[in-house]
Amino acid sequence: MIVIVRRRRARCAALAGGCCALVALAGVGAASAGAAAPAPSVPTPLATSLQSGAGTWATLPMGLLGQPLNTFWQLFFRPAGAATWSDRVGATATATNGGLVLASAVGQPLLAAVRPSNLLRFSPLIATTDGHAWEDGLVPGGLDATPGALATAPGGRSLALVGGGAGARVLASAGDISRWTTLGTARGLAAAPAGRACGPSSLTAVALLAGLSSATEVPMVGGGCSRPGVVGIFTIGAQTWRADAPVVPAALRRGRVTALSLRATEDGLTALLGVENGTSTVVVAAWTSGDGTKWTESPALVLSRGAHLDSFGPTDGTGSFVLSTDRGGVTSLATIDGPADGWGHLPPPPRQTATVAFDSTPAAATVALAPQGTTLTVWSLAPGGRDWTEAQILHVALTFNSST
Amino acid sequence: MPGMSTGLKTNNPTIVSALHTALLHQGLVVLLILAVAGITLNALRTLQFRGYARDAERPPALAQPSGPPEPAARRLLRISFGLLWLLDGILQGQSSMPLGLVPQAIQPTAGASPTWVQQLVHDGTTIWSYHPVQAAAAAVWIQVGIGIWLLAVPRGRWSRLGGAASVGWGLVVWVFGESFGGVLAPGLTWLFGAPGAAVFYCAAGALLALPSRSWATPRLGRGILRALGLFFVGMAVLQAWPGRGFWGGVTRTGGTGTLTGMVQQMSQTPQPHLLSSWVASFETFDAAHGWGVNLGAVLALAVIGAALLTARPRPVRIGVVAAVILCAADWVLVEDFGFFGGTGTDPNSMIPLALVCVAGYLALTRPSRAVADAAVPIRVPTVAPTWRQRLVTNPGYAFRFLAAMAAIGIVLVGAVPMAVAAGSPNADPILATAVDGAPNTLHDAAPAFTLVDQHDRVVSLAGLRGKTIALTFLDPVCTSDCPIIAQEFRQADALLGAAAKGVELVAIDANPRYTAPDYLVAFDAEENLSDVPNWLYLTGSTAQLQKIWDSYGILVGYASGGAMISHSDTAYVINRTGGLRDVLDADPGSGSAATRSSFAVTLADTIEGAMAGSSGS
Repeated sequence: MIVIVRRRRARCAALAGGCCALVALAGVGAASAGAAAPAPSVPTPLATSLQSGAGTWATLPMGLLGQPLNTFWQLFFRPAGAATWSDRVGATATATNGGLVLASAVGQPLLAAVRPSNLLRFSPLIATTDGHAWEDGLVPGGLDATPGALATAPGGRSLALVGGGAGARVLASAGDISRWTTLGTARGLAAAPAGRACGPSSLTAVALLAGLSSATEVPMVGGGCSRPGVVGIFTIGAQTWRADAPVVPAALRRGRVTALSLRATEDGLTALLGVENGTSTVVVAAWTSGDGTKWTESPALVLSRGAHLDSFGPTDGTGSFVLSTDRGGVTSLATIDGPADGWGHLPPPPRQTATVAFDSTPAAATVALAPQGTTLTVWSLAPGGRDWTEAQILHVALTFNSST
Repeated sequence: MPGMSTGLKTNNPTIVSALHTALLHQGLVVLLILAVAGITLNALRTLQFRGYARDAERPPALAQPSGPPEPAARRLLRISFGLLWLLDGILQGQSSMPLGLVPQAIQPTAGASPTWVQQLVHDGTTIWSYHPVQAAAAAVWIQVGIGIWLLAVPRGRWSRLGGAASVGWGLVVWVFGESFGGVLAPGLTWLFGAPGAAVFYCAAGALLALPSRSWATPRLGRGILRALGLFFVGMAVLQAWPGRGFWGGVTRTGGTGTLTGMVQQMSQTPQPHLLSSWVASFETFDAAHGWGVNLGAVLALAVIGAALLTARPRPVRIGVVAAVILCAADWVLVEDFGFFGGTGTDPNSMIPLALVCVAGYLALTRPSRAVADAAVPIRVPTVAPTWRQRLVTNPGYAFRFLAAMAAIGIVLVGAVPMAVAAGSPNADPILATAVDGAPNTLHDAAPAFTLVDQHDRVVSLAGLRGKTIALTFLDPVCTSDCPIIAQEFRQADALLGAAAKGVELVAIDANPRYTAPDYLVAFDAEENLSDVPNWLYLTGSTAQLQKIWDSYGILVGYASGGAMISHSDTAYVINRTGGLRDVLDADPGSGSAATRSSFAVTLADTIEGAMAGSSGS
């Protein structure tokens, strides 16, 4: 009898063991499928607009947006004083699947860099002062996927962020847009005292701040900090890094802060900060004049829960816009003019709006650019107006499957 | 044109024709092997007749058993799995196998598995990707050979060896063809074939490889049934495990449940309408009653498992009947027969599983007493005959021996060319031919050019006289074809070895905007061409380049909407005296490692041909 009982126990043990092994196998499979999501960070969409001496520029994606190699970024241009837009992406003379990054400064040509995609590893760069004639250059290494990865200054100097992640580098050009030298690296920042206080997770934006005490501009670099509540904005010089950052409002100090953009203005620098506080995204604008040590922060712009950033950029002077879409697909457009102002909301732009564009002329309308497939609809909002009106429709001939 | 590549379709006529040719040639060899085996058998029979005539005995018939009869369970496994291997071999001969098996059947399964499995499968299937025709033909003959082996050799050590061969090839299929049957991937379910059909082929092969005394008692049957019972119970637990998507036909967000989604995929497989309508109907039923379907599956698996675990004839009989019915239903409604779609390699897991279940029942209830009796050691005073003596005296042994030899020969007909091909690190040139066609011979003088290279040095065609030139046109900011073509040139240079000293690899800028040497240097850096001593990347003014593009028939144009510059993908081979000798369509197709290697081999062969032609002239 004892033997029989033992045999039964052995069978039960074997059965249980087999079941456990199978379940464990299934568990392994399930675990591998549900890999941990990357740490939350505020996205930095490439769609944006800006103004140069020649007119207003905007870049946005068109085509089959779910397929990276059938998504083609366009470069739309509206000459100063004109009402209609045209597509100038042909000037890039290469595939724009990776996106375009724009930069401009007073008295300088517009710079448009093509982000690498597919098998291309560096960034072709083109420049124009009038929107018709183009010069070409290149950024060695792939330009990072943030709209603030390229900056230029009135003196002709330029900065670029390349490499991405821990291998990110800040490159500087003295004027020739084909010649770049390394100004600093993400590893250098992480090792510096200023970097250790931030715990840099990424570099996201560059700018050249007009120095008050020196003739040359001061290179500034923004990024994301892994330490909650710390803003990662630094000046960089001779491989040394110094934190020159605003302080986020007390209520946001538990969130991780990312410098979305840095923009040099005639008066100093405008920064847009994104704060991910776990439940929603908050945007704060900050301004500094002078040498970057004193900052003024705006009130917080809290995006509705689950909303995502579609676009951000300059309005005019020290102003900024933030375009977002909530879970229901409703777009929201907020603007802020300067340190003395709060966030204001314009009437919600039409669905599908990828970015908006402003004009320095006071009577000029605000424009919403809404692509769908191969068609771009330009919507216009008169100053003080309540309704967006259709102003122009452009059909863009896309060559699908040309990058595969 | 960059971006205009469509890659290789699975029914590419060049590859399909090559497969048919290979199968025809190898089939003739197989017929020869069978003929030799038949003639040899006839000769041995003649010797046997003479021997019996000398001894005034009547010779036994060929089919007359010379030992105890084969156990019923073993006979079932041997014949059924022999037929399955034959069917699988025939399925491997489908036209879409060479190019379709890896991307359409193997990679999707591996893609859901852990990274190390993907890497292992990738390494293993590289041989197939590099030599698709040889690999597909090899799979045909290896499986046909094993099938014939099992069918023709009913007993003895040669039969057991056939079982071992079945295990060996089954393991290869299980690991590299089925990515371990998907057991390491999420969504593992018996309903969809876990743990892979090849496991049951291996199990059957292992049983056939057992010594005959193993079949003498019900013990083997009990072992088989308990293992199967454990398997069914485990699969029931997995099927019942919450959170795996099987308890709902649709998800809360309106998406399809796991089983519904799987069946939906199967219903879209190209197949006769009647079959797809059955599967689609079940999909609709499962979407509506997903919870009930899963409950039924869980209960059925658990009850069958419990019945088999008892290892007693009566409950086992009920369990086996239920298992066969469940397997048949799953085979039709969920697995969709398994072999449609052009790249189905076997009828999936349900048929082999059902066969193993029935074999387990037969082994339990009908053990071979005769074998047991024969297994009782009897002291025989005479010395056992050697295999040579048995060959000329025992007709049954002679038949089994020759059948096994013929089967091994058929396996080798496929395996040897494959092994030879796998010994080369380079892909079969037929892939490049399938993408671009064969190189065309020219007899013109190469149009002259004078440009600057990536280092701002002036280079002219006349200045390169005395060297064989491989010439192409590349856009330095191209995102697809040009980097691949550059790599193919680099690989061809490596293949040339010491002969590369007499060769210049020349690319001419094919972008009218980016003409500065800076772009060429950046391109060289990204493609690791900076250190290739005989690599020249030339540029000039747009007007200069346009003239050269025209003279070589290269079309270059701006494309709209953010597409890259379009230009012809062409390569020329220019001989030492400046004559255009060959033109190659350089469209890299899919740009896979296999097509890159294949194009490099073709280019290197063409360059070597030009060098030999020049030296000859």
